[in-house]
Amino acid sequence: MEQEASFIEIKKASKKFVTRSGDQVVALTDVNLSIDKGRFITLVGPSGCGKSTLLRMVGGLIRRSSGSVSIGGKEIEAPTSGIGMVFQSPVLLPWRTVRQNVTVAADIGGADRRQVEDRATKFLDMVGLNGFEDKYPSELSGGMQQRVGITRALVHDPEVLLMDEPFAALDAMTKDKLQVELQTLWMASRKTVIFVTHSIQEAVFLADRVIVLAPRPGRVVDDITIDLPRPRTLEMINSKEFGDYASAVRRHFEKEDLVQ
Amino acid sequence: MSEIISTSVHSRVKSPPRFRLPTPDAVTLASVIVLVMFLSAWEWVLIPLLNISPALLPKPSAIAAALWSGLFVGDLSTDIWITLQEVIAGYVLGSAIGFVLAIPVAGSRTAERILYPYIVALQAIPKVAIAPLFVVWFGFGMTSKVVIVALITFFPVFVNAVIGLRATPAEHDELFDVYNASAWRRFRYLRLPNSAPYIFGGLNVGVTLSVIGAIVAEFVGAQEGIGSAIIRAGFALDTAGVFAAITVLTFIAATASAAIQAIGRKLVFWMENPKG
Repeated sequence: MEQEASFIEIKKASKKFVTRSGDQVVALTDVNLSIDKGRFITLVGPSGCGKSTLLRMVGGLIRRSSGSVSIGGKEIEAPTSGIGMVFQSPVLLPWRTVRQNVTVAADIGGADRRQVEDRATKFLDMVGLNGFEDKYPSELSGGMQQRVGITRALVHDPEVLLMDEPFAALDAMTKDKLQVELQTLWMASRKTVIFVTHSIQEAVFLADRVIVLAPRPGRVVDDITIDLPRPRTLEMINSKEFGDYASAVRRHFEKEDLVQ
Repeated sequence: MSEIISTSVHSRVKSPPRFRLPTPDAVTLASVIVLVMFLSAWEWVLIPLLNISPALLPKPSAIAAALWSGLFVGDLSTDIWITLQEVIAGYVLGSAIGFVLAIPVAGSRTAERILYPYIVALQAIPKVAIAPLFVVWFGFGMTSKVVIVALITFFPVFVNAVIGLRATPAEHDELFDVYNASAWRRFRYLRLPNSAPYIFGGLNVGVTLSVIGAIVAEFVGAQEGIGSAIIRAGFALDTAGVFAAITVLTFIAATASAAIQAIGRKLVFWMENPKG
């Protein structure tokens, strides 16, 4: 795994924390990961495997206990303008319209307003939210709210897009549709994406590489390159190759007796 | 757009900011009928039947006459104006201090530990008991009343603002972390708008208290104002005059409360029910 100067380098990263009762919990131990620029990586694993912790470490939102995380050769100690984040819930500000939510980076992050406004128009168009710019979040469906969340993460043109189970709260049909839309967005922008999910199908469908994590202690147990052609279609989920990749991921959870 | 808005659980469609004037419906009509029946029973059944003296309980018609003459002949309109000024000045002052003090208390545990005991102690003192002191310190004029109204309004606004400024959801804070937002921007774009529903809850409690505060302060010592008018009418056994002043007070308190609620609904349009 020792490649030279990958875009994102995670070396021996660990995260321990102490619970209120004084017990020490190892959330992640000894994670090594190199990610090339423009790749779509999914982190998959059961709850407690530290996948969200790893994602937040890359974003600089959680301080690691040891090891190093760097993006483009720069050590990550705090959030930078180079990252965009999509959360599990859309996390929209209810008093701001769709457009005001999408361009929030210009108000709170000091991003260039004109660039943000231009890109907002472009991406809102791409995700089919034109005509909804002046609506408030409560007037949108869950799927549309999450589209706003994704657009917001992209408008300040980050190099890395971090996604923390963004489709987990959506219904199955909306989820399918948004997965395909995300692929289209990604193929157009070629951001480096790290996408956390607990759905094996979602992980295989979206990824260039699926990183499999296991809990207690949180660690990487496999790294599977998904060699399926793009753009991927929902029909491909039923193909034999897709099934083989899915079983290769699922194998780990059966072995560890983690699937209820 | 193939996605239909109404398929989602999240799609409670709310109308954007807008004033809605109440339309007379059956319920409103019914409550007006109840009032008319109550006043009629008072006027034509209760008083004549029990032969109650007007000095004890005047007829509604006598109260209306007293109100009319007070407003257009007597001094009641001057008294109303005085009390209104006291209420508005004290309310604005008390709310402003409550809000400003809430910012450090909500923002830092140290500030909270330093200030909170004194603020609670201040609230524990019955304002009626210390009202005479303020009259001694600030005189019989409006200043002593403004101070007492401010003191009474302060607390609900303060407490609600502290709760509201702290009520930011963790995931919103994380969003602001992602953008490395400064403390000021976090306050301006997140904590402040997020606390607005709570603050309006406090302002709404404060507005009715402020009218009570002004009247109590005037009872203690004043030459003018509605409270003073009630005292004067009472001494003159002008019971209809007392009722007329009480009617005005009720009207002022109800109108002020409705106005604050309307402003709250307009500014905090994203909440279905502003808290408090």
